[in-house]
Amino acid sequence: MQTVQSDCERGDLRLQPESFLVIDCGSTTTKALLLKKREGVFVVSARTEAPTTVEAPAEDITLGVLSAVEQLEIQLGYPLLRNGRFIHPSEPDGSGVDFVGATCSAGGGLQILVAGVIKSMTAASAERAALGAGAIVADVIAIDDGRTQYEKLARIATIRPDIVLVSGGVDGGNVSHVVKMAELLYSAGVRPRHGEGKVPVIFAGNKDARDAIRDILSSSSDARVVDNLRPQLEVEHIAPARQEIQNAFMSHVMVSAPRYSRLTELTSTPVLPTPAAVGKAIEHIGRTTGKTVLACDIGGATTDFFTYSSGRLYRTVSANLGMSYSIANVAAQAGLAAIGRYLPFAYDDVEVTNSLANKMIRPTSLPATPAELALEQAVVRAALRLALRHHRALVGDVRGVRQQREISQTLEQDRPAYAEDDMLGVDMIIGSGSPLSMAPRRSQAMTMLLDGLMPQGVTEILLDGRFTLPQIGLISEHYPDIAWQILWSEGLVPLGTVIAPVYNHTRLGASLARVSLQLPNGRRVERVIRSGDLLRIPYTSEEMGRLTITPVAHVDVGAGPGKTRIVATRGGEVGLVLDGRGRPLPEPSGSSQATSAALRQAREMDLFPPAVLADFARRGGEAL
Amino acid sequence: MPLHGSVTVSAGDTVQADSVIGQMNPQGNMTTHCVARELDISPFDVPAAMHKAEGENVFRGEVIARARGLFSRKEFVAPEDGILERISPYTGWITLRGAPMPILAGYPGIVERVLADQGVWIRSQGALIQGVFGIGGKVAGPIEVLDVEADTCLTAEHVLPSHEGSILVGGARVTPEFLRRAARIGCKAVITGGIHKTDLDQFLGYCLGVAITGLENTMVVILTEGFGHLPMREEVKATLRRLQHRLAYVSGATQIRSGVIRPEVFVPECETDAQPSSSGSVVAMGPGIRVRVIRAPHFGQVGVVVSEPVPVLLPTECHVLAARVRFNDGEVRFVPAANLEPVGG
Repeated sequence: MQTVQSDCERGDLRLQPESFLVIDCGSTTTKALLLKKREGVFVVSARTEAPTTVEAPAEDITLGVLSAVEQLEIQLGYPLLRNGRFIHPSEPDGSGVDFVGATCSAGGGLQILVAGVIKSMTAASAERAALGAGAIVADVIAIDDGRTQYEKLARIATIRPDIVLVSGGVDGGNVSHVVKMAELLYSAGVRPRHGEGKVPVIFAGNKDARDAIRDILSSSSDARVVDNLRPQLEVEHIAPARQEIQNAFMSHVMVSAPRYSRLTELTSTPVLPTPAAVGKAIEHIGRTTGKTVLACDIGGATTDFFTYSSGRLYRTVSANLGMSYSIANVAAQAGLAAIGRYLPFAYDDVEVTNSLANKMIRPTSLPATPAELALEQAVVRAALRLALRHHRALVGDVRGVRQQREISQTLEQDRPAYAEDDMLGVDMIIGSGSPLSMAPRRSQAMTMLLDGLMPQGVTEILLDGRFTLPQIGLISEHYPDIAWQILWSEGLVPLGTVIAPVYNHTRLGASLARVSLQLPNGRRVERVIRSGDLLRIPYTSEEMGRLTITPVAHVDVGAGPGKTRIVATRGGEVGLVLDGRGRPLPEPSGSSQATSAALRQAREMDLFPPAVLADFARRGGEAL
Repeated sequence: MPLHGSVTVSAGDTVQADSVIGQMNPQGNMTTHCVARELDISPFDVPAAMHKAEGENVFRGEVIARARGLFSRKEFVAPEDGILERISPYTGWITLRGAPMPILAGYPGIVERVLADQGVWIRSQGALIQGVFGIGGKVAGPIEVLDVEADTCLTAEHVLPSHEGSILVGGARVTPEFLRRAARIGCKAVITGGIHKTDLDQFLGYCLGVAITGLENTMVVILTEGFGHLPMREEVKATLRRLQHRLAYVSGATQIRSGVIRPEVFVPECETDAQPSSSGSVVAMGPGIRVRVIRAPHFGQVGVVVSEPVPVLLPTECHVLAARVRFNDGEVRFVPAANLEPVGG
């Protein structure tokens, strides 16, 4: 297999590119996307993917990149490579490309060990800084975390983080505790996950302890100092720490991971961590629409969540809640019943757990039967639920902290506008990640988001239809206008609108709200949402329709109990979904009730072809 | 080595499995003591009060620090043998590390490369069999291939007292009772085709969520095929049968993440026609390649690729690259390339 080099030079970007080749290296698959200008607008010209090759025997991330690009060449019918080099810029005969970029979350993501003094204070702030930088927190060590000295040392020695973040002490306060934490790190001997160099250790604690920290840690680690992320007890200031994490990631972690240095040599611009790239796109969507946006990106190893609310972006990465490496962990945390309730066929517990465990040990394998696909999509629902809970818990809980507003900071962790289970404040949901974006039917993606995130009130649902958000976020770094054009024309696919009334217990079948949809062509559709209902009204219009929802007295659709709400809404590939099942979704009383409900849902939402649904129903016994 | 230590061999040295190649300070065997408080002095005065320097050996009962006050003299006595690792003038604490632990080679061979303070690469020749998943660390013992049919589910009755110290091989599946009895008898490891995930969790005593193993305090278990009832491939069993009673070195450690690690069985110094394996080779999925299916349908079946992967529409309505594979029963079927694993032979 040929190796790849590039003629690209940093900073040598075309002012008016005509084509973009953007690659996202995920933990399981590497996606290559080619965008070309046609009649003045950029369109997706081709998209391919190949297994990511950071693991043995390959241990060279560029092999997966090359494989994906070679498939692109076959689709396009012209070369992007010549003699092992990218053809850059594009040539008059059409070969080559004007821009080559990459985002990366391969290798299981950025793993950070957080060390603080007080678990609920400085350590918690440090954890938020790490999560906000798109990292996975391997562990949080604190003086008061309940573990013995010996247990802390053993744990630190076992973890091989990419970066260590140390915090503790307000400025001017006691230094001994945070210095003791540094000595613990020194004694344990932190080693990097990849390579044999020094681990970056970022100190973001009491400024009076900086000299001591440098003295203790400089010989054994790449010690860095930034502003205290908790300069006073009531103030949290995590932006400098978060930025330094990203700096350390770019300068140290990525170049020491398997052949990542080759990847950085290939591209026109620095490689961007995938969560950072997706965050840019979400922030733009929230800012330009003025809506509160909840977005999720479910991957092979992690599930990332983003909330954009009141001008702020919040981001979390839930480690070990992904769909390949950590699929068995999702099942372990959620429980088999939480997954089985979504299967439209009877199943055997042992066979289901075996199936998920086999996916765990062969993470790049694909579901090849409808039953296996249904199982994986059931796990997606559970993963979304768990990760959303994690996201809400972290971004909504800042103990004893006033807001510190800095105009230049767009990523402060203030309390968002809604509490943990309340989804009434969310106007828009965006789903991304291969399990959602690449689902064979859009209705499957819609239903996974519906069941996993349980929107309330009136919520617009969009899909990152070709899994392009990371790439669009990367392009926006250098060509924002082009990026946003691609986002709205090629990236986001409207799936439709969900109306999910919020109510207390009521009898099954009781009327909840009357819905009237006035379509642009003059037609009117009217329905009543009843308790327990899940109804789909196909509505694919590109033009705005007018939705009037009139709830009964105690039911809320976002304007207050009993208050009518009028919303302008565009159609989508799935349409209008009326969800009267209640929140949280009621637990089935038994496995057969769960199977019947799942089969009914599959029929109503057109999740599988009729022949497949008939097969699920006919078998009655075990389909998996 | 799990922690930094010192390597005591050099490149070119011949080692046996039980040769000491270095020593390290054992994981967790470290204690800290507030000498400042014991001597009633400030942290900054602790270094001057110490009678031992960093890196020196200390012995249980030895006075290693002393301070003289106005009316009294206070001493700090080492609570255990070890090495004085660190004296902190900032906190007044000292760190004592327990006696160094010798590290054994684990495999016979020649030291090819030394990684300073971390370990060695040993070059060895023999038969290597990789499993797909395992638990437990490194052990050694004679191979004992059980005389059972390929499709057998191994139960406690299959374990005999004579199996003590052995590496048991066989079966399409093992039960938790088999594993418990084997562990009780003193077997070193079990190599089998498969196990139910629920049974593995029962044996471990917890639900395994992520395939990162090797530190379990348990008998080594290695799966050659995966989770479920899966007969071991005949060529794997035949290889192990040829190595009956030979001393084998096994590792159950598995890591399905960046830098993947699969469990291994290694039998050194055995006659073989095979060429030395070159790690790093990536096998393309082309005609003539022998493959195993790693996902339903046809999970575990072995066949030969007939044609290059082409886009195919699956029953899931997904378009994927799939290769035509001729199976041992003569049938030719399309299988997603992502669900095929090259196998030797």
